[in-house]
Amino acid sequence: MGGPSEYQVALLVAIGTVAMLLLAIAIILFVVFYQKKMIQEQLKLQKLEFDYQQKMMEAALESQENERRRVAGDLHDSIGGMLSTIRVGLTTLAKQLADPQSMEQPKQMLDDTLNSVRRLSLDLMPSTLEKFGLVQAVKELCERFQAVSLLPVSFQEQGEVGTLPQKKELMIFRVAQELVNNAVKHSQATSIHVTIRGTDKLEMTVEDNGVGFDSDSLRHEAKNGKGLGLFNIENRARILSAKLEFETPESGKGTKITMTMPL
Amino acid sequence: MTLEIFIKIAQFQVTLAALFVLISIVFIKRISGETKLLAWALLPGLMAFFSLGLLDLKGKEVNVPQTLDAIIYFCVLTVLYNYTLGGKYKKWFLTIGIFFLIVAGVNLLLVQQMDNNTYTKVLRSIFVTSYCVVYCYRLMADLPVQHLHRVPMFWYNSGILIFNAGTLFLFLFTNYLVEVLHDDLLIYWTFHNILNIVQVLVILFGLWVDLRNIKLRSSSPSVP
Repeated sequence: MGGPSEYQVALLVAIGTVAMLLLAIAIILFVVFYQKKMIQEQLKLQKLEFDYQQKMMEAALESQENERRRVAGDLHDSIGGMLSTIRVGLTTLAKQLADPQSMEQPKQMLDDTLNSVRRLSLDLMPSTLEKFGLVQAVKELCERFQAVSLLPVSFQEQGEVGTLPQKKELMIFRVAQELVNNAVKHSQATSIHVTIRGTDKLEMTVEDNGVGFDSDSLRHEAKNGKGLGLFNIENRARILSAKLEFETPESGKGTKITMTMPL
Repeated sequence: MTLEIFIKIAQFQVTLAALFVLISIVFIKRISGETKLLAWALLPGLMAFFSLGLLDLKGKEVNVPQTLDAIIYFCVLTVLYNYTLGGKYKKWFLTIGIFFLIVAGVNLLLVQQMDNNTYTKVLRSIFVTSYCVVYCYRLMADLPVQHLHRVPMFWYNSGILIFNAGTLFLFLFTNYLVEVLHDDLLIYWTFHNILNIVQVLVILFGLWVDLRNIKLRSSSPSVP
């Protein structure tokens, strides 16, 4: 029996080479398509996780709002009502006393307590928001902060801010509340200015002339359980699909925080 | 197939490799570590090609530089893959490298000696193809980047894989081709050179990607 012919060897070399080349190209193409598919799967998974987290966050905030609503209702209707009744009782009692003036001090204290309960109730669930909408509620918020802190807290509405779904309005209001509260508490500012602009998008700006702050270090603190205010603001902004910007105003002093959300 | 065409193709292949080495030298401070190593792997091939004429004129053996080129090419590629895989298979690479050096040394000194060291080249092709497959596997397992086409090493690996897989059978049958099919040898070796051209073209594309990455990095700090 003779060995393989020259033709057979040449054919073997050709087939072997072509097969190896095809295999090499197949490996490269497989890697490319597999990698592409896996990355797509990974992105899909990330999106699902993000959606899940978003829903969890929404649910947490909603339950928080429900709880606030319940406590506000209890404070206003139950405790507020009882305190009002006590006040009427005290007035009646004072009339029967020989010295009605002696009841003036307890009555004054009761009035202060009633005011505090009403303020607390309003902070927890502003009825203005439900009755007159976001702009009026933020305006009232500024007035209340000004009255309490004795700082000039001005408000300005630019353009026409239409009505938004109640849930969204409540979230925007909470952001405004937290931002103004932070400015009053921590910025050592001498004036605070809140602006709401409404065109094709809603833009809310809270600007102060205080000492300014480092949002990154606050974020770091939020991870350790501190600085939850900023964390909550960012969560709400994320749910609203809004963009938050922290900057130093043109004057070079203080903080300017802008939240922009599509309408 | 005429000798002139064969030589022209071989010269073209060398020119492309020289271009890669030259660009790598020009941008030596900015290119990635992979590109630098690959330039080192291709440089001995260029020197071997230019030494052919010199040695031939002096009547000396022309196969030795080619064999040394095959050994250096393999060693640098081993370092390159070890580097690019983050030293994950360091022991394997070291073992394979030492084994290859011993076999290549024995082949050069005792077996094929001054002849074309085809056994060394067969072994080189098998090992380098395996390196390429391991790299592809790691790419699929680790998913290090979103866009593969922006990774220079992906292109280098593709070029190296195509060349080494394509030439494996040629090196396996080189002895037979030289002894029996010597009339068609130019055709076979032109095919080898064409595969080499493909390899260097793909590698050059990878170099372009590497240089573009540098440009993107310098123009935008956020580009990874």
